[in-house]
Amino acid sequence: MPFEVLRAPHVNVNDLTLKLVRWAVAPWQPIKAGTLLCELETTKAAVEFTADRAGFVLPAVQAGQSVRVGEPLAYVFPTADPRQAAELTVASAEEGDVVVSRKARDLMARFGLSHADFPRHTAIGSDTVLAMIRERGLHPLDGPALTPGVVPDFGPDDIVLWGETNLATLAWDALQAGGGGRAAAYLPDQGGGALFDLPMLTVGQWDEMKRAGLRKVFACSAGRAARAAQLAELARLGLEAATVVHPSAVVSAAARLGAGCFVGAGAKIGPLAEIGDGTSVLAGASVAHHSRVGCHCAISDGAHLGGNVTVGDGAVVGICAAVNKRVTIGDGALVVSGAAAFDDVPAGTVLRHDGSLARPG
Amino acid sequence: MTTPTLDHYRQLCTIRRFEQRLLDDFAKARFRGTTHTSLGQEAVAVGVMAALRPADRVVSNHRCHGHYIARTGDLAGLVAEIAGRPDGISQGIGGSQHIQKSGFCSSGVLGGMVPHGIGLAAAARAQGSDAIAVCFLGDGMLGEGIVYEAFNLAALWPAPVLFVIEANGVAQSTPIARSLAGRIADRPAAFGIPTESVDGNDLARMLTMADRLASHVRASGRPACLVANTTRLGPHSKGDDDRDEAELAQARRRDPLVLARPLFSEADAAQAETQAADLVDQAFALLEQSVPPAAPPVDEDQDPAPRNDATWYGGPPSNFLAHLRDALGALLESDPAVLLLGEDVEDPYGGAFKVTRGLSTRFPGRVRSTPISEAGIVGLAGGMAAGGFKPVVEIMFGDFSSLIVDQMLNHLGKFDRMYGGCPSCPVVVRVPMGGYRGYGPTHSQSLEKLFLGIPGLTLVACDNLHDQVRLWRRMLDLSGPKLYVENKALYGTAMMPAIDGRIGGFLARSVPSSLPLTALALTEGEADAVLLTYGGMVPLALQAARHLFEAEELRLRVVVVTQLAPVPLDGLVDALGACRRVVTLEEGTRRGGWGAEIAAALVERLGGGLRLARVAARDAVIPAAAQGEAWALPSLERCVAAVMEVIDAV
Repeated sequence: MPFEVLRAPHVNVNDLTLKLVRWAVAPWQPIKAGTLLCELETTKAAVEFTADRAGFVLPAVQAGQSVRVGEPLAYVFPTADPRQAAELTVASAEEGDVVVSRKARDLMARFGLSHADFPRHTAIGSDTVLAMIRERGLHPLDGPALTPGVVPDFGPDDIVLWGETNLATLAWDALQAGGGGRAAAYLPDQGGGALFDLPMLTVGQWDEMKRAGLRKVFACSAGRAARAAQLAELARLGLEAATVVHPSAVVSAAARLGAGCFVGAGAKIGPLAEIGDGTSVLAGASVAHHSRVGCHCAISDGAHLGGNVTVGDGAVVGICAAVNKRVTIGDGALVVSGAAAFDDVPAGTVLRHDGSLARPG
Repeated sequence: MTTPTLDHYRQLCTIRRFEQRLLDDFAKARFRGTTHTSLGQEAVAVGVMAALRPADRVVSNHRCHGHYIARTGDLAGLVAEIAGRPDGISQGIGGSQHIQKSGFCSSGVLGGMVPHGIGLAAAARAQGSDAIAVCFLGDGMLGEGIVYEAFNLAALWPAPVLFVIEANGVAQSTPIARSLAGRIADRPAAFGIPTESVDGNDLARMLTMADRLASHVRASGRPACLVANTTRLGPHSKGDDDRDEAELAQARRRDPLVLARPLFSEADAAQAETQAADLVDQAFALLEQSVPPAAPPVDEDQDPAPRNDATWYGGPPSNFLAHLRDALGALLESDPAVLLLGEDVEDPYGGAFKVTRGLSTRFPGRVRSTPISEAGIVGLAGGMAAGGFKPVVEIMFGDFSSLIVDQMLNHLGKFDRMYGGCPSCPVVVRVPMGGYRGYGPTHSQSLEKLFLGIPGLTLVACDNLHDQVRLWRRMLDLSGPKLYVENKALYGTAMMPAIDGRIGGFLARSVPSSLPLTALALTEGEADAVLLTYGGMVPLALQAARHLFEAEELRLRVVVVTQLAPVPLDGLVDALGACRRVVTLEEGTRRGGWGAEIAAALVERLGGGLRLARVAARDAVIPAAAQGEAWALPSLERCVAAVMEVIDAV
């Protein structure tokens, strides 16, 4: 391949198009890994884009233009020969690059795998990587050759994090920041990986953990049904479903939090508000006075619930969504990110940005 | 002056008798539908046909019986046709206005057939024949714009066409003084076409003038026009004549039969009249014998001839534009019948998008720039196709394809079907569609849906993964006209070569279908959703597939369709596999589009259980401004959202 392609990065979930604000390099300028190439703008922020390799750069997009995520931003040539630009007519024929999912990329990085471990693949997903890990007996928690971690001794404030990685990470962070307890071990869902340096345990080790003094478990599997099953299992095991609250959250003394809840950084929960079991109120979200949120709900980052709002079990309020005072969000309903609910959202429906209701499935 | 013979007089009487009998039988409800008789205009038909040779072509209009009888004498075939019988000359499909036999054809859309006649004449001349074509026009037809496109084309080409304007003084019911400004003869003359006027009811003068002009056309290879002033003695159609009795009485004094009769002895004339009556009676008597009806051919939502040879691009690095140019060059090279016609297609300009650059130099005379007359060019191409050529027409911007709808719908798309087995018109019309270039509301559209519902027309879309030489060869194997949709944004896009069963990082599968159909996926196995798309949307579809896998680990199968209509339903169902979550992606507006047709066809075939979503341009004007254009046209965000919606992963 006579040149390599630098593609527009995926900066955040909501922006699939970026604007190129300015170039910091001139065409055919020599660059090395770390050289600032250009500034990109998303709807939220400006990002600097730096080179990850050395060579001679030729911008593919002009300043002021938009570029889609994954499209070429610049080409890097081994030598500064403008005649090579003729090759660019076939640039998109080089789309043969293997597509690697974000999950797979994380797993590969953690287990030291590279593209070369997956020859002939057009795409590498986490299932592919997990299969390889199993095949090599690399993962201690997956597959028949399973070697559970060593159960530590637990103190009274120690909490085991049990579930998927994202919420477990948030809980770990809240506890690190002084959230009333200490993350002592991680019990990942099937296929999950390590969490920082926590010992990795399995569901086969409950009895051993109890013998070692474990009393509290933070349950954080994804989805309403999984979370409910976790809480039931903890009750059966006689373990406490811990609620974790980030120390920067403001929770009214007159608010009531159920078992197994999570309250993220900067979240606010007003007086006489009630949060049901297994519900998460994520970073920067607010639940105003007298509002009642059911069990196993997610109030996503930056979402705001006015006073006297009712949210049914298993409902999800998306990122930065707003729910006006006295509105009822029915069981299992979804208010998509950025939407505003001025009227009740019936159970099981989806409130879209334009205020229309859809019924999934 | 040519002296009329008794045979000429017998022809006049035969036409008169035939059409009077026809009107009588229509009045008695022995026929259904409609008819247009040429009572009073018989001498024009007889005069012109006497000047023609067997290889000459005749293009007529709705008032065609006199022309046909004078040309062929085939009363039985004509009456059977008007009666809608399978033993009619158009198998009963065409009826009174749509007849065709041995170099004669007619149709009922005013003006639309005139460029067809020019194409027939141009084809004959290009093949070294001295045959000419005659186009019959009425004075009412001079209100149609395409007539002037045709005059211009005939004069410029030049084509050996004799235009015969039958000036009967009335356009359906409106006197010509109220429907036509200026003088009739000035109109063809304005295009430099030699024009003569004649008393069309005077058989001797008609014979003389028609012979003179036909000879001139034949010798010069250039057009000429004869304005035959005549009278319509009957109604426009069956009973719709509101002219007053005084006007009709005056017209009857100029009856061509009355004027011609004294040229013969009473005995001869009477004998000719009796013979004419006998011929007509014998023809109508054939209707007493019944014949079983025939069904016209029909487009089904399926492939008549599925093929499974891979048609992927495997050539050297190239963008789509250069590959298409090479493909057209290869077609011109391998088949001398192929011609390229269009606005500004000759060198050095080489077409607005440079698709034909270099081809007029390589193939002199076979790549021709035309006037800015979209409908006229397509009509001419239809005539050249009927004359044995395989014309390829470039419409500069697909937005202008609205101007050719009548030609594609009422003419090229119908010839092989309404004439009952007549050779088809293998014309390919190339239409560069699409936006993303800031050309604004009337230069950015994707209008292929205007042609989705035209029976007999194959709607084809090209893309940057299928080999266009192979696609064109397969396409030319199919009968009838084709609309070949190019996409302007695709021209600069690189062809994606297939290497070892992979295209652009995707695993490719060729699905059996009459035109290429390819399924692309990043991984083996079942898909989470299937995205059906074509043409310029293919790069966006593949980008969506990569994004969904990278961000969400969702497996999208992209199915690239090249035959938009008729819908290759068997192939699509095959490509779907067990997946029932389907998204269609098209660049045209959403309402009544390709996605809607696909969705309906899939639901009818597969029943419930399908989750469907359409991604298309918004039902709005496409703004020139970049932001507005991006808002109006399909985007990666909208593709991703639609896929998430059918997967229930909002």
